[in-house]
Amino acid sequence: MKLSRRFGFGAGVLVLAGALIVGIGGCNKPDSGGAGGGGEEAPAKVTEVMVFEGGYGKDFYEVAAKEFTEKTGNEVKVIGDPRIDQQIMPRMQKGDPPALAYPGWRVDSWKAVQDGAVEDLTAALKEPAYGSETPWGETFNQGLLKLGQKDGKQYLMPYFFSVWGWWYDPDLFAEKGWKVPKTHAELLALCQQIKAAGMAPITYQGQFPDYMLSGMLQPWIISSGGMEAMDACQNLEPGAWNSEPVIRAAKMIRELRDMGYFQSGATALSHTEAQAEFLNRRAAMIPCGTWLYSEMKDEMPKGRRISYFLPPVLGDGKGDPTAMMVKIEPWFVPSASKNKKTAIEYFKYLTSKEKATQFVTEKGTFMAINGSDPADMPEDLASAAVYYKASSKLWASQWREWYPDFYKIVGDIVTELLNGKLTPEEFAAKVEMEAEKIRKDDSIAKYKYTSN
Amino acid sequence: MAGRDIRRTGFILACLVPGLVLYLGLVIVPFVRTIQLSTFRFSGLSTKMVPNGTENFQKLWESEQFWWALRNNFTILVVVAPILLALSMALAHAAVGDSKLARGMRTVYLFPNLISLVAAALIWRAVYHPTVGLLRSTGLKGPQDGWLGDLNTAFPSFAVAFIWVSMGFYTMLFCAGLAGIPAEVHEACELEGARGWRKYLWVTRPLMWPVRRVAAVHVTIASLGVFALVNVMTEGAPSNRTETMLNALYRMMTIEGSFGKAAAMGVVMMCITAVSSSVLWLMFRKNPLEGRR
Repeated sequence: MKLSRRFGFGAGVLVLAGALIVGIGGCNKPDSGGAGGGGEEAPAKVTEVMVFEGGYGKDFYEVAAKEFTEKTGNEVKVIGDPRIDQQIMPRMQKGDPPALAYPGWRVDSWKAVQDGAVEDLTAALKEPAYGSETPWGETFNQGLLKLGQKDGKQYLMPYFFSVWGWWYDPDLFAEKGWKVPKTHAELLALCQQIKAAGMAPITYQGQFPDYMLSGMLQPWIISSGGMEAMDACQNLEPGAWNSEPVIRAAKMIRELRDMGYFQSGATALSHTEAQAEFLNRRAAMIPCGTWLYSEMKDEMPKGRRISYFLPPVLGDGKGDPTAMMVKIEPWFVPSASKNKKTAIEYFKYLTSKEKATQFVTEKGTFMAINGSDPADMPEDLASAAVYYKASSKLWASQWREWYPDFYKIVGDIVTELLNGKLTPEEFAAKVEMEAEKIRKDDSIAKYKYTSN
Repeated sequence: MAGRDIRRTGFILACLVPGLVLYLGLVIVPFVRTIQLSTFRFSGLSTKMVPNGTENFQKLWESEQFWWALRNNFTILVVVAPILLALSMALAHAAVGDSKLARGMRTVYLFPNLISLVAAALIWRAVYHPTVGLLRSTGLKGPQDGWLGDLNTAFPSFAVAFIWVSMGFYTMLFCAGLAGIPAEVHEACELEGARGWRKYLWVTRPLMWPVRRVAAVHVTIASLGVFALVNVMTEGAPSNRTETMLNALYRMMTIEGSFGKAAAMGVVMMCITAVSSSVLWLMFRKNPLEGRR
């Protein structure tokens, strides 16, 4: 009697547990595939747009949504949050995504593309742009548009973009009579001067090796071996990471360290800590993207000016000395959304020349839409714009999004190089070994990058 | 008779069901789902889940991040935690009693526990900051890559912060344990001439057995589950030297978009926790005072 009661109770618990598991499991059916969509026939009344509320806020998209609703009668609701990824991901997992998503840097949107969960916008790009006869696709900078393509199809869309480079303080440089270095030799000479003046020549955001990869390693691979050397690395070609240009770039980094030109302790600094070091004139130069000003504006000492320059290149290098690294933060239309049409229309409105120009003026960043640069840019951005206009080669570090685990590992290995644990040769060999693992891993979708 | 039985069962069930449902929904179901998820490739960005057998576990096995995380958690458990408990025990001895000083010390010890882990992590970042940090201002230059940037000093530096934030709790726990020892025991020690180490080893320590067991269980959980402190202080940098299992899991899920791998990490953590609790159970199976009376 006692035994059976206990048994009955246990069985009850099991049944309840089973029911719950099945119930929750039912929420996302394995293998049902992300594509399909198909719900277009019954669109929801409100078109939801989820945006990352980063340095440029969400107000611009909200105002635009209001205008769009007034103009077209289609209701668009903008949901913005600094951690919007935490709202977008569960919605994508349930198969009930927003109509348009800008998830920010925390989400690797290519993973969604790979799952077939992102709408192909190739056809939409051939339609006319908002309030214009020009096909929508032609209103974009083609090099930036290409960053969202796979196998010739457009999945991810650029909006604003940043460029990577180095920064200096023009007032400090003028005061000390220092000249912005164009070549590696000039950089070494300048570093010696700065160090002699009792200042740390270069600081960097060591806690996040991304800055070292984007600000020094990759530009110097290109400078040393030409764009094709970096293309080969991005495409994980056998031997590419263990090639002469990579070793040379690693040597350049190690040289700066060994000469004491890096700020002592920079490997321990977070991005904002290192940037504060630079802004407080404890270091003369820093690698960073054009978001530097908006990221640090609250900590900027009064009257401080900052200016952009390209990473100094090798005098005898094969690479284009004007090569410039760009970075987009993609937007996309999830294919399971019921309001794809309105979403595309709204994004067309956002990317109209009028709205894009307004965005540059209000937010102070570059836009991927042609002819959107206004006459009066903020000073820090204007200094980068000079180089941008003169650049004959734009490129992007796409392997970062394509192979995020590999990118993290390369960052870890760079830290070991900086710490003096690995020689430049060992560095290149170790990265190549990790690249080989990714190459051989069939579970990871492979992409092809061509800088042309 | 039977009626009363049924009524009693009904009452017990009514009391159990809410807790049971919560436990099922929040513990058992996620538990089973995690094991299930660890055998899938899942980006977290679509409904697509591809079964991939043991691939997630193989990837863990091959990654340096995983081994560093494992190594660091074990070091915390086997090296840092005993230091933490020993220091707490020593401090508790210093702070026991009713004097003003002792009471003041007990309050001060608790401070690190009162602030959030995030704030503590930021405080320690400030302590180790290579140019404006507290250590730097005392003249300690530290390694060239900074305390938290050097491959060799990063983990010890982190461990100090871990001890700092945790010590207050264990000190208080031991204080309470010491206060619970009856006064006549102390008197007897005095009469018999037992003091210092002898008193600690033969009288206080055995009498503190129940408290030490609580502390051991708690410190094991805390050591294996280090997350907030590391996530805010270093995010595992430099080159995984401060990585922990839970932080690695979090990164795999959010930054890498590999939910399956993160779930596999979770399963590994669960096994390690199970083993650790078994070891603890063996260590503290029997109260040494039982049977002595």
